[in-house]
Amino acid sequence: MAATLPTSKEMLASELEAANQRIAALEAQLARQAIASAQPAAELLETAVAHSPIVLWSTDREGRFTLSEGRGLEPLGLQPGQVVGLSAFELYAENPDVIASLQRALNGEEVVTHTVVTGRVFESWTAPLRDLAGSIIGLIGVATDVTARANAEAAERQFRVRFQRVFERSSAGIMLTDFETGRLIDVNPAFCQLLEQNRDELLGKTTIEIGFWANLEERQAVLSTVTKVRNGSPIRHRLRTKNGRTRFVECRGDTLEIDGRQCMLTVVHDATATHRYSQMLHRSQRRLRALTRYAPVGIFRCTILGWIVDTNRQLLRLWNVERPVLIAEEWWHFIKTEDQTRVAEQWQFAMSNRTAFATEFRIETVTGDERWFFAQADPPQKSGGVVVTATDISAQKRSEKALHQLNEELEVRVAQRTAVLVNFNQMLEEQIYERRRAADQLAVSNEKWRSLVENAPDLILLVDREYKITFINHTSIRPELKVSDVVGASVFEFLFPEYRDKVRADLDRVFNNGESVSHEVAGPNHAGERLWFQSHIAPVWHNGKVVSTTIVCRDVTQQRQAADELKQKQDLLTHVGRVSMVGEMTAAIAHELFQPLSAIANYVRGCMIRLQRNEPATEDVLSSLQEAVDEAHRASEIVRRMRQFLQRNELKQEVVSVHELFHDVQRLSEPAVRRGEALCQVEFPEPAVSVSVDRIQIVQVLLNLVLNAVESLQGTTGQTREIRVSSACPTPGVLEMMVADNGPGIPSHLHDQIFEAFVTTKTEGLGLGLSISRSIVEGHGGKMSVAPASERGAVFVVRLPACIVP
Amino acid sequence: MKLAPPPVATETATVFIVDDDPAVRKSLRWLIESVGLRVRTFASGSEFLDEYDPQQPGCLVLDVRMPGMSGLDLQERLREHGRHVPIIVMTAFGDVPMAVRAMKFGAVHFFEKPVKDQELLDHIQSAIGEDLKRREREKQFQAIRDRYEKLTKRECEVLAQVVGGFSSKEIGGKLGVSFKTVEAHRAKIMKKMEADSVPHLIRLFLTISNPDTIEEEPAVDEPTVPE
Repeated sequence: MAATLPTSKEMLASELEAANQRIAALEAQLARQAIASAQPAAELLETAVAHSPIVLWSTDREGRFTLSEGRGLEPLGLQPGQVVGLSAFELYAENPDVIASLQRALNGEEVVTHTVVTGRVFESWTAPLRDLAGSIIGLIGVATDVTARANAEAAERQFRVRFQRVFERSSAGIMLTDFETGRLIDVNPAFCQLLEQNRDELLGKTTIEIGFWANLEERQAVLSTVTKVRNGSPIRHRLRTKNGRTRFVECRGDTLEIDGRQCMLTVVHDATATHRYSQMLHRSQRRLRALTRYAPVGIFRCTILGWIVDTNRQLLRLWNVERPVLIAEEWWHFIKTEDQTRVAEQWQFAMSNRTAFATEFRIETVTGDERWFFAQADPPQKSGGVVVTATDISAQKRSEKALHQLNEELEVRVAQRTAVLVNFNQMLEEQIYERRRAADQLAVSNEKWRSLVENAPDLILLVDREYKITFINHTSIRPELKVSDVVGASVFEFLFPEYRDKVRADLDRVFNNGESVSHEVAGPNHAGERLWFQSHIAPVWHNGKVVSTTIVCRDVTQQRQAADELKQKQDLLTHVGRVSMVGEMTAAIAHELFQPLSAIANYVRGCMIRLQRNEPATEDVLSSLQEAVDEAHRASEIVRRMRQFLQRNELKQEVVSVHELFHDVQRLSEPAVRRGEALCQVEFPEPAVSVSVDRIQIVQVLLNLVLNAVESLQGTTGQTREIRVSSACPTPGVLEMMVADNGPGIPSHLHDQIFEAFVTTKTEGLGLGLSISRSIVEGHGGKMSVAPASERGAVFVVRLPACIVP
Repeated sequence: MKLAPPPVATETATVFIVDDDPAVRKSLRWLIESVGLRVRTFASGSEFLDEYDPQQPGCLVLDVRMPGMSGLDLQERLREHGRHVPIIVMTAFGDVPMAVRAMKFGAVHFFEKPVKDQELLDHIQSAIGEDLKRREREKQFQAIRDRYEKLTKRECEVLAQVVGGFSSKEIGGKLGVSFKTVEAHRAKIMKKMEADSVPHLIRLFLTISNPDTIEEEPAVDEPTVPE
């Protein structure tokens, strides 16, 4: 049809052309007749008009027809001249277009109109008829019946519009190409879209140029198919777009002739999505098949009544049955007996209500165990088959059970944990309370400290590295000074000059080594009198550095004076101790003195008796007299030694060897030891170590111990009374001197008190000796102690530091 | 100074000096030797005990206070051993309690130091004399004792009855023997005991049964001082 339409159009056009040519010929003839002769020409015209498919007419000025001729009247059902004398205005009163054109012509205008009269279409030419003077005397018109042409034109117009619409709006791409060259004549928007190119880019190019066909062979193959097989199945073709995308298209083509040219109309349908879907479907089908075959899930198809139609292998394996046994049986027949009724009812319910089916049931295995299955099916389709899947959920069941158990355990744990947390929370709250209280206490404590510092009787200072005082709590020691006078001043301003170096050295030690140092220094008061300060200097750390020092300073002037007095008193007491000791020894000393005196008397008397007998003065007599002289010296030596011991000397430190000390003690104690009928063994250490001490005082201590030992031995009988004086160096730099006896010893409850004043085991005596001895030893930085001796008796130990080994 | 022990001579009395002070020992030796007495000195009581020969007559001059064995200890030891050497004790000045104890332990005299030389020499002489006498008595007593030892058991019984003042007849009745037998025993006793008479016999018997009673008979007033 598409091919015939243009053909008829052509035909119409040529027919019209022919008609026009004929009219033109007629007009030319009329003109020629009018020029040649009016009369013969009029006759000729009449004949022509009578045979022409036209209506020739004229009217007078009033519009009354004066002429109506032509074969064109036939289709109108009029005879030539039938309307002459009738008014055109009256005749066509119903047709305003006609009336309007008539009047326009009467006004001198030449009008061509198309008018429809009684269903026929006329092309009317209306012109005014003028006389020789040119004034309008009537109208003349020619109406050509153009109904057929108008009809053909309308039909063609309609077709064109329809074709254009299809062409423009078609979702399929359409291209019109030259059959021979393959050049594009026209393309529709869908085609442009398909190729992702503009229409302008495409037109004029060949299909190979635009990449529709890969090469000429491909095109030829397609063209040959198209020409051979009309209305065959579409050609599938893979299309590469300009942007490199691949599209699957289906092409249908047809040849047609346009304006004598063989053209190819190709309709290209984008089948990319379809292609994809079909592929996906294919794949999915394959997968489904595989899935069904190999799925770990049992799958079977059955009827609504539950009769098994088909099954996969897995189900057979899971249920451990042979396929022939299953087929055409109700499927719940194979599950555990107890579950059968329930499952069957559920099945029937689901099927009759067309709902999904899902249930759990058990299957008994060969070994007698039971396995849990979960079966589900979609609502039944109209086709009647139902696909049921059966999944082994034994493991799941087991894990559910375990999970349940775990959950229970977890809950217990959670409960425990919660309890712990609650406890902990409570504890925390208590701690928070405690901390808050501690913070309160801290605030109170801070206040206390502040008050303490401000009200401390001691001076508290901060001193910086320039030895300047940066803080002082008060100036009560020097009331004439204000705090502001002191802060900023150097510490040395408040000291006697002789202490400056010492204080500077000590401060440097604190700053450089971070040590804490204590010392006693003196400074003047407002009257220049000596004030003694006991200071403790400590570092103030900040970021690992000593930035300042605190000095806590106490006025110890009074203590110092008291200490001086005490020392004097102690010296006095020590001396009194010595005197009293000598007093105790009086008898012994007297005895000791009487020994040489007796000896002297004996020697002299012996000499006298011999001389009285007039015996000659022999060597014996002389040597005996010499002995007497020696004994006299011995006696005076005893007295001298005692006097020396009793001297009240200033404390004098000297380096004395232990030998010297022991000799002194031995000599001084000799009378008392002898009188006590005791043996005093003195062990002189080798090498003789030395100590820096006050000789008389240490001798006093040892003598006191020996005398005490002698006295303690007085009650003992039946054994040798032994006193042993010895020494040892238990650690380098320490000397221990021991006085041991084998007497009754010191009762253990008195070991700690024995050194106190007025504590004594003796029946006589004040009990001051050991107390004084201890003061002396402690004055030397040493210590005194007592312990039981190895077998019996007591050992007194005098421990002295600063022992020097030669 | 320690001298070698001289040969033991009963008649040569020796003065033993025990003092821990060598000067005192030496000076005393010098003094005592000046009057012709033998002197031996000892530094301690134990030294003396080791070397002392009881047969040696003499006297002991003892210092009371000495380390180790004291003078009193030594006195006690000598008493325990039944040594009767006369002891002169020297004590320190003012040590009266010590002196009292020394006398209780049988010292013949005590001196406070310093000792007056003449007085000491005198007391040494008298102590030696006393010692010699005592030794003589001792010898006599031992002789009677030896005679008594010779008596038979029966003779001893008879002697006890005789000393009791019973007649021979009474004794015969008591012991269940005849008068004649008693008489025979008495004769033998008299002979063995070398008694002149019954009173003599009684005195001899009493001497050995209670030596102290006889001790008082010979009074030693003046020490014999050998010149």
